[in-house]
Amino acid sequence: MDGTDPAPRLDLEGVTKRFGDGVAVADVSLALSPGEFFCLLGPSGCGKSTLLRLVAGFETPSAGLIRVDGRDLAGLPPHRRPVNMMFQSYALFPHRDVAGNVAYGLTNLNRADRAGRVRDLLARVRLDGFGTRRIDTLSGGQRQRVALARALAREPGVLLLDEPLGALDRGLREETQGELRALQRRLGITFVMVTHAPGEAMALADRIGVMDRGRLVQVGDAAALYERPATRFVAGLLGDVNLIPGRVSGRDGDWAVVETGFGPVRARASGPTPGEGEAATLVIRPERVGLGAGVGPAGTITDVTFLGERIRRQVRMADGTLLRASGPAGGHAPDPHGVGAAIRLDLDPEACRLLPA
Amino acid sequence: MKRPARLIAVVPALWLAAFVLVPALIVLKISLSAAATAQPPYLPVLDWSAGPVGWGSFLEALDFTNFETLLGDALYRDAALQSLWLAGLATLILALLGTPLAHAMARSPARLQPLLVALVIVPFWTSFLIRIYAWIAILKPEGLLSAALLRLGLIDRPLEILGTQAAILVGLTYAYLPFMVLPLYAVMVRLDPNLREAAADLGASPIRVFWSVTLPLARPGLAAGALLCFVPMVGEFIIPDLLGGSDTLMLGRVLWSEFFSNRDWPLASAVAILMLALVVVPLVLLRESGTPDRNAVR
Repeated sequence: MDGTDPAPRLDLEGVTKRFGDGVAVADVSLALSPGEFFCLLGPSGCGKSTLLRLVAGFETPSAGLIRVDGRDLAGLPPHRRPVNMMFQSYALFPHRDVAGNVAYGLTNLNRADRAGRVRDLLARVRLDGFGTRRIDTLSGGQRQRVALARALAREPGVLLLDEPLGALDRGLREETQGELRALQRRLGITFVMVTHAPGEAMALADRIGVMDRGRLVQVGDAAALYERPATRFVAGLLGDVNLIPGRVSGRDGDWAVVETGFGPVRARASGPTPGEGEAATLVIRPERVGLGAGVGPAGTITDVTFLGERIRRQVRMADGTLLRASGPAGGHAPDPHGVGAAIRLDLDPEACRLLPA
Repeated sequence: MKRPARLIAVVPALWLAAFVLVPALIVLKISLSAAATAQPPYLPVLDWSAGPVGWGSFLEALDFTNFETLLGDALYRDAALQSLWLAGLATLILALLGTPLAHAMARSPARLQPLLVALVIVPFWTSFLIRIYAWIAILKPEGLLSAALLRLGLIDRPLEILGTQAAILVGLTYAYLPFMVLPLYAVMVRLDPNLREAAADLGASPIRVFWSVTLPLARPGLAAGALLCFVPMVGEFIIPDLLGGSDTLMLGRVLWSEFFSNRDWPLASAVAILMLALVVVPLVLLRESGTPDRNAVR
């Protein structure tokens, strides 16, 4: 993002929610731009759904401010908030037909306008002609689209989506991801989507906020989170990763040398990272672990798994540390890196990152 | 249905046949006998050994005078109308009181709910008769209610409630409230809270949420509660007898006095059959409209 960001559409400042002795959401601050697609990513129980419910007004924050377009939402009941929510269970009204559900929030329109608006909304989610269908006659995917149309009906500035794709089966989920993304681009509404699926967050979001035990631990686009995770938790959440324990033996600005069980490794160290002499974790993605014959640390290949487009190899280092390395399949016949092959690691310092132990 | 399931259904079926169907048929037969102020047997007597001809003459001898008496006599007609009117009015009052009560119970913290349900049931631990007698002590002119209102200066002479229709309504409302609240609560507590939240999220005020989401989805509970209250209230005897005046005739009292005071069993049986007909009709109607909507409940 550049320095001329427009005023934030949704602005959270130190938002905290305590339930009894527990803290569900701890001091979360976040500013979302108009038209941004933001994903809150984290395991179940990390507080991401609670954060969504705080914005919708179903829960009251113990501390902190929630603003939409600069307006403080404190004290506003859910039905007065300029946000709408799509529920994980969809929460469709079983006693109303599809059109009745979509029209529920359109009380400010007269009958004719309302019917027209419902038709537009149903067309937008490809449910033309479904207006008079009962909810219990719809498939899961159709219900999901009705819920989306209903939540969009009032043209909210911010749409909150709680695991909107969670109840769909795999194939449908991927198809729906594309539709959701296209719809969001077209409407220019700020989406805040809660998900526990990293792939979904990376595919959809402009920015991702990773939550862990109530805290927002890192915010950034998918590539930044993947390449430059701030914690071991973020590193592990977004994909397979090698976490190697070690000790910092030297620092030089943004660079550090980590003494691992199989020798010193040079690594990037930006942000608050351990200083010289402190315990640290070296993080490297399997696809950045190169196998060569140079002068790097020595190891032996102990396992090879063919995954189609990729091959994953397990490497046992001299001290017994097991690393995973993955590379594109094919090209070598016979494979020079079969089980038992002695290799040397080729570790790009740019791909190695230093994190707290 | 598999065989074991069918066998299980036989037991309640036999029970119902022995203790509901057969007695009802006996009452029906007595209601079609000639009026007589005495103990059985009542004429005609059905002689199973008489063969088809004998059964035919039995059928011919059946006497419909009791029903003619009932339908022709203003006393019985008024008693029936008054029973329906009071039971209907009490059902309406119960619905108006029970719905918010059940709603509040269903929305209170989960750990409080067993206690609240227990509180609704607690009155059943005391004899029904004693509880209605207690209302006499409350409602009589020198009773607790009058004394309290006099003390507060809200009235300047004792209330004349006892012995009126109002007293019957108070008694009916008090006695039948649990039968309205419990089925309503059972349905409301299982409603997905997300439905209410979704409605609020879409701009509905709490009042609109209640009218457009909670109440329509609680309809099966309301229908069951109305049924459980209305049907027995039509035939209620104790409450009108103890709290009502001599001018308030409800079917239960008529039935009782025909059986025990006039000792006219055939006529009393006819009243019982008439009452059954009066409550079966609304029962069937409510069954039609109250078919539970399974989707309303998680």
